[in-house]
Amino acid sequence: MTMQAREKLILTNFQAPGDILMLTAAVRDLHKCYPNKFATDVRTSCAELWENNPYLTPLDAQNPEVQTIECHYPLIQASNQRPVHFLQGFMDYLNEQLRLRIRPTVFGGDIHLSDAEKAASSPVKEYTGSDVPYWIIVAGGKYDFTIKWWHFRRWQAVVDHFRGKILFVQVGNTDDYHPPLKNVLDLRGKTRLRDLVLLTYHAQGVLCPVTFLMHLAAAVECRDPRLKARPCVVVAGGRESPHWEAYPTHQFIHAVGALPCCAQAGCWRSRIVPIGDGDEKDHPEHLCLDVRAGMPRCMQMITPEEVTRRIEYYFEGGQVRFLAPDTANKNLMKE
Amino acid sequence: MKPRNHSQPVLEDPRARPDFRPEHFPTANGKSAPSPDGRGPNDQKILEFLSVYYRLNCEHAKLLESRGMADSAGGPQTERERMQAIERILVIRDGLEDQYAPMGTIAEPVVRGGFTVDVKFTFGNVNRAGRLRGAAMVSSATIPIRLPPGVRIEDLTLPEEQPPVAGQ
Repeated sequence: MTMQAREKLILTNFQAPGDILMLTAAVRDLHKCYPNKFATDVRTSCAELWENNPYLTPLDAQNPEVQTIECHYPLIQASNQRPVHFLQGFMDYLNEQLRLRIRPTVFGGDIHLSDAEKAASSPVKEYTGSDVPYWIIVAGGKYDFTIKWWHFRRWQAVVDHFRGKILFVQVGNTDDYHPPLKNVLDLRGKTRLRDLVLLTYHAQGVLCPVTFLMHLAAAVECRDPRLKARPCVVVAGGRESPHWEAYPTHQFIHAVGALPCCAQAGCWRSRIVPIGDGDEKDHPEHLCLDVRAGMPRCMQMITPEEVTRRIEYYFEGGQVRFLAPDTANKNLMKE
Repeated sequence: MKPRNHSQPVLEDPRARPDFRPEHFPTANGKSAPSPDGRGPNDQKILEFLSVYYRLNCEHAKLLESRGMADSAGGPQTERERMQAIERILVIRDGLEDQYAPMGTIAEPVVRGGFTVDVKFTFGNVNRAGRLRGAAMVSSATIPIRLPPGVRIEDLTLPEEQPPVAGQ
């Protein structure tokens, strides 16, 4: 079908990077399910996630032939009852808006790297002097959903357990809550969005709460062609229903079904305690119902030993290897 | 954990003490500490952490001092006591960190020569500019528009601002 004959769409969304990553999946699968039927462009908060995307065509919003659709994912309202995944959120919305039947074709978002990006050396090499394998660690999160936070001493315990075996690279936006960890390569505040994509491409694994990095871990291809899927351990707790968030190859550590407050599905509450920022998420209906030792009970139940065991699965299974002894002996991590 | 009364600092503000050593009192985000009766939303948290790090600095100074003394029979014992005193303060510091972690407070010490000289604070309720994170942001801009040649603003008819109509 010629360009003129294709239906022209501009899809817009200005939510968080994790949401935009789900939109990349919707755009990919729109074209895979309806080849040559659409020409699509986007206006989003994360232009860097769309670089090298083969499914985008520059479109002028002023062109009367172009339909602009502000994208949402109301499917999340049914996520506690229906077996649906976040990836289907925008697809479901577009199906309703355009009377289509888009189906997911890949279990992950759609990120594309250029040949030059793939050929570039590991960003960690700049700091360590050598191309050592590493895991990305996120030890905090945004202030709007503090209930997703695991205690920083527990993240530290995991890092310390693997000292000499895994190099952890800590990332995080300086405007968010990311307490400093010891014995890591500290890249907090030093990565733009595209830097995170490249950092993930070279990463052996990812350790994080429910956050953008887990979705990026599933969406970015692995530098090592022998690795079919990037190891990822997610400290999830009981907020989100596991089937909505989790990827098949991830170790998604959750407590849904184990506690009264998330007995059948995620609790979807927002904060541990009020933080006094004027946001309505400080109101009682958004607060955790069972706080223990400064953590939601579901998070408090997840021990560092559990997390370390799940990381070890990948090494024990042979998917990845620990640092070589001669590499581990070098002082790679800041004290 | 027993709830604390945040109307009073956990630790006594050392600045009022006659033996106060200002060189050991860190700054907060590079600036002087709030006053003892500070009413900022996070002033009490700041003072609590600075008081803890002040005490750590003082104990560290005592440790260095004892190490510099001539050897004596009580040398190792004195060192042990100094280390234990530091340990007790570190436990208090860790307790503060744990208490405020759910609210998003980070107090990251800047250490030089073994002494904390500054503490970098991040709070969950306000951003770095001191604005409430949940507050709406308002910004405005003045945009000058050059009139076409020969057009005078006096000759233009500009629409008058109408009062809002209910239901619209």
